[in-house]
Amino acid sequence: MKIRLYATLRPLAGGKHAEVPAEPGTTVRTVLERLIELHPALAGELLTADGRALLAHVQIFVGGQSVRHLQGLDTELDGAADLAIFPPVAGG
Amino acid sequence: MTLMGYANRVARVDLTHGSVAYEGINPEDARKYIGARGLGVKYVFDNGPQVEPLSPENILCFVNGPLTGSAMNMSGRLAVCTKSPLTGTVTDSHMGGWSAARLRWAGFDAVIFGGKAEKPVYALAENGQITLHDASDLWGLTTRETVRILQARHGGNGVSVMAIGPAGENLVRFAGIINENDRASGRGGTGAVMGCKHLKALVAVGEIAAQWKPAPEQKAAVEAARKQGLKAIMDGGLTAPRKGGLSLYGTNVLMNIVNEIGALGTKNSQLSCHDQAELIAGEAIREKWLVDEPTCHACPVACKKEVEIQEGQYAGLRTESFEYETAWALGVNCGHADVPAIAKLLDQCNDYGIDTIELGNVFSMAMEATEKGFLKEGISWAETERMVKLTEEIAAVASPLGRIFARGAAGAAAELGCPELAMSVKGQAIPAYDPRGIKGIGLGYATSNRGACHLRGYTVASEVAGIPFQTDRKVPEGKGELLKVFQDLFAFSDSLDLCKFSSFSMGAKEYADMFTAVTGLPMTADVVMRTGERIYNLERYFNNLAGLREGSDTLPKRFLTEPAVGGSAGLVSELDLMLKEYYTARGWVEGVVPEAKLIELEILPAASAEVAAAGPEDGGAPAAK
Repeated sequence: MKIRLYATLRPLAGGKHAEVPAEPGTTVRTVLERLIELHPALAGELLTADGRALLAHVQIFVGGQSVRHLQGLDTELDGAADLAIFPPVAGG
Repeated sequence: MTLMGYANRVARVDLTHGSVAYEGINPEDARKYIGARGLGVKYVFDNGPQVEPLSPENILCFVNGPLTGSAMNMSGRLAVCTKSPLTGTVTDSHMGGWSAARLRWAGFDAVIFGGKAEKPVYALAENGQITLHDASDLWGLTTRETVRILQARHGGNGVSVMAIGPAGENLVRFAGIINENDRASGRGGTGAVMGCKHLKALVAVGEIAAQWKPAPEQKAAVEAARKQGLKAIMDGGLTAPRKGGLSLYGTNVLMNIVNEIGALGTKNSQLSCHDQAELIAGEAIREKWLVDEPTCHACPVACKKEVEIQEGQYAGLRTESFEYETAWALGVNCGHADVPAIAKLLDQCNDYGIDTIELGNVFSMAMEATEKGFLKEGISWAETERMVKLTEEIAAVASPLGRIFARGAAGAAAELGCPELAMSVKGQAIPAYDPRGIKGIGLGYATSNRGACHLRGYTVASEVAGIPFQTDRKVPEGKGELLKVFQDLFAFSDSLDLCKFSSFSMGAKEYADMFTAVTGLPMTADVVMRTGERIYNLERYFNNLAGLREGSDTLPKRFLTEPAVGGSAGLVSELDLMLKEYYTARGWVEGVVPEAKLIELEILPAASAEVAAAGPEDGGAPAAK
């Protein structure tokens, strides 16, 4: 699965994109765990310390839809879907 | 009564007669309206809602807040308040940099200009005195040329110059005021009001040695409030210096996420995403174009981003700040993602004194008007060189198109016979969020007291970023109450005058603590919200009296009837539903403030025989005194 990373996540992951294995039905939680395995610098940037919840203000989108308004970390992914992950962003 | 924290000095400059009168701040006004936006709106209100914006009778107020010039974090801003020639509403437009602090160090809470000078003048604020000087030699110059000359004349780089360029002189309805840091009082046409008065610049000579200092018994509280705010900024995921997204990428950190969700108006909001938006986003700017990251007085965040163009016809151009709003308005909104062209247009706007948001919307409206045959020999999508040429013509009002476009998107579209193509509310064009994809901000555009604006109530923070809590951007229910909270909080912070971005780390409690520490006046989080509500209602009351009543809180038809595409596919704005909830939360009747609400908020006295009796039954706003 292709993951697009933005803003402050890019220097931590060493680039704009990451690729992790994800068979159909894989949850967002599993994808994030695999992503953190691949890029340990992202640990602490995405999930709470106990790994059970998304950190406040981190936004993850599947096809433009926020997983916060789907099933959160338990959202199941189509293997072909791509994921976009944003750290806290706002401006004006 | 001693007002701690304030300079307690306001200059009223009569440009017609060349005279200046000085007064203190009414303590009751300070309690009720705080400073900056709140106090400035009160001055404009007292001057009369019926005044013609481009007339000597209108006033132009440069107003600091009680925190301005102090060491309180993110406090380096002032409000320019007047009746807008673009919207006919009251307006306040804030600039950052160092001008606010220096005006305060020069001895002033506020400088209020009325009348009209016979010949061009500039005003010098120094040592608590205002003097007027001939500006005939400066008339016609750009803002940067004016800054350079006046800084050299009055002490060098440490002098602030808030100037208009040719656009303000020529009464372009969306002309702004630019300072020596290229920070702008951009929205609402404050520069045109200044030009109408033949006022080229306000110069502030003030040294930090004149900074407000707490009395011995205040020191501990002031330092505690300052440190509390600083800790919030340093710990904030967005604001942490050199670490948070806002600090590293500036406001343009928003470009990718707003595009991702399909709320990035493209081609005059015919579309809501752009496949090349990433090229002009904050990440790309930092990687390829960034050369400097200046900041404002008392701000560790440093969100401003200066770029240098290394290639093409604009090679060598350095300009700031490459903001999200500017990149959107002059870029993808007009169908392109050409960084050098956006930088060139931004540089022109700074030089000529033009609001980038309105200009971008003028062009996108004209491009669609050309495409649909309303404008012959107009301008095509992404025709950047023509945009540059037309910007010169707009600033100079020097050609038939320049004259039409100088009226702003709504005025120009009306003249071209296609008013529906202006993405404007109350005559002011929209910022960079498609209201179909972010419901609350659409309500915010519709109900803003200064025309379409994201900064009256920035619900995007909640709907997209989850600050201070997450709401669903696609759900209209609950947005009326949410927006009211944002509008009231910002009305207060604008009156301190703190940067909007402080709200990403701080809230009503921190604002209350800073205010109390500096002024010694009691303040709680509840009173912060109540005070903000009072200010918002005073603005609305002004607008009601100026003729904006039932039906004026609306959106361009496109957002109500044409479904969005992209990440917000199929959505329209459910404005009626949200408006109903909002008016209930406000206690308004179809957008009009009832007399009972004005009394409840102490805007009107409880038993004023001078107040007309038009009451809540008919939704009528009381008449002005």
